[in-house]
Amino acid sequence: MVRLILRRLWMAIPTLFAIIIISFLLMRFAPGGPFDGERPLSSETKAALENSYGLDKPIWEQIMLYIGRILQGDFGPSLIYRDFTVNELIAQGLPVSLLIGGLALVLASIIGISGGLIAASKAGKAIDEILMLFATLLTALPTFVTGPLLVLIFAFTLGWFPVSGMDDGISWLVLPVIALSLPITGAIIKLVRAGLAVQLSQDHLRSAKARGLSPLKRLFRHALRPALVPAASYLGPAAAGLLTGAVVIETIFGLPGLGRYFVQGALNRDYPLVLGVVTLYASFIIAFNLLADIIYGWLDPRMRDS
Amino acid sequence: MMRFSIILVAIMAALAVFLPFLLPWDYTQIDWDGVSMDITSYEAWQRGHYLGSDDIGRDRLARILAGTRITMSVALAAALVAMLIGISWGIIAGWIGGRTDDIMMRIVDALYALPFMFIVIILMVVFGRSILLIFIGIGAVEWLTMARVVRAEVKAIKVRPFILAAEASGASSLSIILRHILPNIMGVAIAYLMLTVPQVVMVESFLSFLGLGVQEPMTSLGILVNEGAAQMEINPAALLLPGGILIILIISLTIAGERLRDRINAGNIGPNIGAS
Amino acid sequence: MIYSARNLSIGIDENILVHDVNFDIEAGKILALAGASGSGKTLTCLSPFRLNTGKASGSALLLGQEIIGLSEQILSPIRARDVGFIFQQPLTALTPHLTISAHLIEASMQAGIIPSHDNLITILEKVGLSRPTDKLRQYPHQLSGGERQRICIAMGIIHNPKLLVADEPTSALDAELRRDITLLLHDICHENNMAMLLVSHDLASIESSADDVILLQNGYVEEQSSTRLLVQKPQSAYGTSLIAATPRMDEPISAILPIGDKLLDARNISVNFSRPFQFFRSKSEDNKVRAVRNASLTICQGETLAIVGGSGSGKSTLARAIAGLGPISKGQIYWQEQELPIKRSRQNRALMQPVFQDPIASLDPRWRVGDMIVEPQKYLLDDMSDILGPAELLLEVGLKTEFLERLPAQLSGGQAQRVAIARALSVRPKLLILDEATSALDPLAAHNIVQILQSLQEKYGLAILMITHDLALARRMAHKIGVMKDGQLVECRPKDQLLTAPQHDATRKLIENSL
Repeated sequence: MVRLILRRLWMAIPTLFAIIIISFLLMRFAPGGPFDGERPLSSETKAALENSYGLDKPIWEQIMLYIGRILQGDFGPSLIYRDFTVNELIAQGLPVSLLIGGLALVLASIIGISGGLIAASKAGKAIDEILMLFATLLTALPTFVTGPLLVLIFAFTLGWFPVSGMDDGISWLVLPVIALSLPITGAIIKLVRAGLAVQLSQDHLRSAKARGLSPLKRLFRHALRPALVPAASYLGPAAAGLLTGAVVIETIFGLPGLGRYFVQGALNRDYPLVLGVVTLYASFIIAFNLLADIIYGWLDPRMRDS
Repeated sequence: MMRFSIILVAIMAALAVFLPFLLPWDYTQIDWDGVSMDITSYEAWQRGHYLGSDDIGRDRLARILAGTRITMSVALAAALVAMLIGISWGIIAGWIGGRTDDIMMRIVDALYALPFMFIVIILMVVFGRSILLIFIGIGAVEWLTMARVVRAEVKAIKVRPFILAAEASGASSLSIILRHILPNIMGVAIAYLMLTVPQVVMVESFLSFLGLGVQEPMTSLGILVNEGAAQMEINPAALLLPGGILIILIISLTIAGERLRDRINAGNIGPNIGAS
Repeated sequence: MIYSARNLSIGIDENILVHDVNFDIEAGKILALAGASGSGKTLTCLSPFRLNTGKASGSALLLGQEIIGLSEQILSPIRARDVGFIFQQPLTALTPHLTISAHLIEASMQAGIIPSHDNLITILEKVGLSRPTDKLRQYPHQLSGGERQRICIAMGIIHNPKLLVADEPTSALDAELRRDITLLLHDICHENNMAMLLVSHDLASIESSADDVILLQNGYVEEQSSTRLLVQKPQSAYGTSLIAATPRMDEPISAILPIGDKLLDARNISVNFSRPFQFFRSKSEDNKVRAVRNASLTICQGETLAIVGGSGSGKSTLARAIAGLGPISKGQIYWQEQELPIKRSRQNRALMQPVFQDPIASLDPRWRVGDMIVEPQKYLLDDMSDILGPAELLLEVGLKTEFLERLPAQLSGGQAQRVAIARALSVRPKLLILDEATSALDPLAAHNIVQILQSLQEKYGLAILMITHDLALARRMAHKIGVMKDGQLVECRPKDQLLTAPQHDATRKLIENSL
C-alpha cells in the first residue's frame, strides 16, 4: 500500500512538470502579449517592462527560472493586477474557493451516498426509478444554467438569499454551494447505486443470506464498502469538476475566488497568474487522485496487495 | 424511454435545420424597430418575432434554432473525433499489449490528471476562437475515456478463444482486428459515443458561456444562456428558453446513451457521470 | 429424519421447472442430486430455503417443520441455526473486506453462539487448514481457492447444523482438490452425525461420498436409488447412458486403432513467461516464470496422445507451443523430420488445428456458423479443388445443414463444439490439438464429441494431441499418456504401461486421485 502511494507520487511529479511546461509554452507562443493594451506603449517602455518581467530571455531559461521560483513557493508578480504578486492573489482567492468547493463536496457526498443506498435497497421499485431519473437530471444540468436559475427563483423571486457577492453571514454561501454540488451529487448517486447493484448480486451476499443475515445487515456490513470503490475513484474527476464548476459559479455569483482570477488572467494573458492557478489546480487533482487510492485500500483490502 | 429520447433529439435536430427557412428573420438580422420585444406581445407576433427579440433586435426563435444547430453539430463532430482517436489508441494499446500498452495507458493516465478544461481554455485564448479548434480541443479531451473503454474491451476479447482460433485459421493481425475485434467492440464504442455527445454539448456550452467558445455573429446555446442570465431579472424567457432546450437536449442524449449501454450490457463503460 | 421432501416442485415465474421430487435424509447420511446443467438440481436444493429465484411448492420438512411457505423473517433464523450452506464458487463466496475470523464469528453468532478463539482454531483444524492462527487474521483474497472452500465449509459447520446443503462444492476446484474436499465433507457428516444434501454433476465425487442419489433430467426424477446400485446396475435409460458415457478407471480398455508413421516430434520444448513489467522490482526476483521445462514427445499418424495434469502444470502452454499459437523459448518441433519454423507458414498451420475448452467462446459471436467453419480455408489453402464445403463439413460432425445460418448464441455447448471441430477439419489437418475439448460439456454431450473424434480418427487416420485433467477419459481415448507436473513432462508412455507400472510419484498420485 505504501509502495503504491509512493509509486503514484513518483508518477505525479513528471505529470506536474509536464503541465507547467505545456501551459508555459502555450502562453508564450500565443500571438499578442500582456502589454498589447488598447493604449500602445512606446517600444522602449515595452522593452523595459519585458526586461523587468524577464520576458526577453530565451524560452528555456524562462522555464527553468520559473520552475526554480515555484519550487521556492514563489509564483511571481501578476501582470494585470500590477500591485499584487500571484501569491497574494492566490491567498485572497483560495479560501473562498476552498470553502465553496469543500462544502459542495461534503454536501454531494452525503446526499449522493444516501440517495444511492436508498435507490439500491429499493431496486426496481418506483422510488428507485425516481431517484435515478433525478440523478440523470442532475448530471445533465450544466452549472451555468442551474446557477442563474437558482438566482432567478430563490434570490429574485423569493428573495431568500442574496443575488451575488459575499458578506459576514452564511446565507450568501447557500446558492453557490448548492449549484456547485448538484452535478456531483447526481454522479455519486449513480456510482453508489451501480456499485451496490454489482455487489448485491455477488455470491458473497447470497452466502450472507444463507447465514440468516437481515437485508439491512447484508447491505451495510457486506455490500457497502466494496460498493463505494467506484465512487471513490470518482474523487479525482470530482475535484476537476468542482474546479471548473467554481469558475462558472464564481462568475455568476460575483465571488472573488480563484476561478475568476483564472478567467481574467487567461483573457488578459497574465502568464504568471494563469500558470500559478493551473499549477495549483493540477496539484489539487493529483492530491485527490492520491486520496482516492488511499480510500480504495481501506474499502477493499484486495487493492492493498496489488 | 430510449426511443422517446432519440425521437426528441431527432425532432430538435430537424427543427434546428429546417425551421429557419420558414422564419421571416435570419438569426444575424437586426430589426431596428423591434428591439427587446416580449414573448407575449402581439406586436412581436405581427413582426414575425414569435418568441420575441433580444436587446439589439435579433429574432429570438431564429437565434435559438441557430444555437441548437451549432451546438449539436459541434458536439457530433467533436464526439466523432474523440471516437476515432479513442478507438485507434485503445485498439493499438489493447492488441499489442505489454510495454507498449503500459506506456500508452500511462500517457492516458497522465493526461487524465491534467486540469483539462483549463488547458482548453488556454488553447482558446492562445489560438483564437475558431469552431475547428473548439471541436479539436474538446475531442482531444473526450477521447481519453473512449480509449480506456475500448482498450479494456479489446483486452477482454483478445483472450477469448475465438481470437486464438482465428489465429490458428491463419488470419493476420490486421484481419483479426478488422474482422473479429472491431465488429465486437463497435456496440460498446457506439454506446459510449452516445454518452460522449451530451458531455461535449456541455463542454461547448461551458466555453461559449465564458465567452471562449463560438464567436459572434455565430451563436450557440451556451452564449444564449449567458446573454439570458444577464437580463433574467427583466426577461426570464431569455434565460429559460435556451436553458430549457439545452437541458432537454443533454438529458435526452444521456438517457438514450445509458439505455443503449444497458441494452448491450457494456459493463466496461460504467455509469455516465457527466463532463468534468 | 432430518430433512424430507414430498412432491416438491419448483417454478420460476409461471413455468414449473422441477416436478415432484420426494426424498428423506437421515442424520449422518448423504443424498446426492445429480444431473446435467439445466436439469433443476440446484433449484431443488436451494429454492425451499429461498436462496434463489425459484418458487417451491409441495412439502419440505426440516426437523419436522414445514419450511415451504414460511416468510423470510421466520425462515432466516432457521437457515442460520439449523442449516449450513456451501456454494459452488469459493473464490467469490467470501466478503472481500472481512477477515476470516470475522466470517467465522458472524456465522456462529447468527446461530446464537459466541465462539471463543479456541473454537475458531479448532474448526479451522477440523477442515484441514494449516497455521490456523495466521489464517484468522487474513483476508479471503490472500488464500487459495482450495483454502477458501475449506473456510466456507468451516462456516457451514461452525454452529453444528443438523443439515448441510452443498451446491456443487467441488466443481470450481482443481481435480486434485476435488477428491480431498469431497472426502472432507463425507467425514464431517459422519463424525458429526449431520445430514447432507449434495448437488453435483460429477459422478466420481458422488460415488465416493453419497449414500443415495437422485438423477434428474429436465426437471424430472429419472432414477432414485442407492449410489452403488446406480453405478452397477442403472435401471433407467438415462441412467444407463449416463453411466456408459462417464469414463471410469475400472472399465475394460477398448480395442485401439493401429497407428502409422511418425508425424510430429517435439524435442526439449521450454516455455518461459516474463513477469508483467513492474516499476519497483527487487533485484533478487527472477523475472521469468518457467511454464514448461524440457518437454519432448512424438505423435504418429492415427495416434492419440493424452497429456494429463492439474491446472498450472503447463499442459495447455505446451499444447499451444506445439500448435504455434503460444510462445516457445527453447526446443525444436519436427514434422515428418522437417523442422517447423517459430513463425509458422500457412502450409504449417494447415497441418494441425486446435479445438478449445469453452466451445461457445471459441466461436466469434457475430459470425454465422456457415462462414465460420470455412474461414481457415480462405487463409490456409492454396488448392481449393477437393475441399469440403460448409454443408459437408457439418455432416462430418453430425449436424444438419440448417445450422449453417445460426449464430453461436443459438447453439448448445455440444453443438458449438461440433462446429469448432468442423472448422478445424476444413483444412484437412493431419493433427488435431484438443485443449480440454470436452471438460466444459455435460457427460452425454462430451461422450458424443469423443465418439465423433474417434470415428474421424478412424476415417482419416487423424493424429490427436489431447490435453485433459481427466485420467479416466485419457485412459478411454488415448494410445499414449503423458503426465505433467510443474512444467515437466514427468512420464510419457503407452497407457497400459503407464497405468499398471507408474514410475513417477506424480503419476501414482494422479491414479490414486482418479479412482
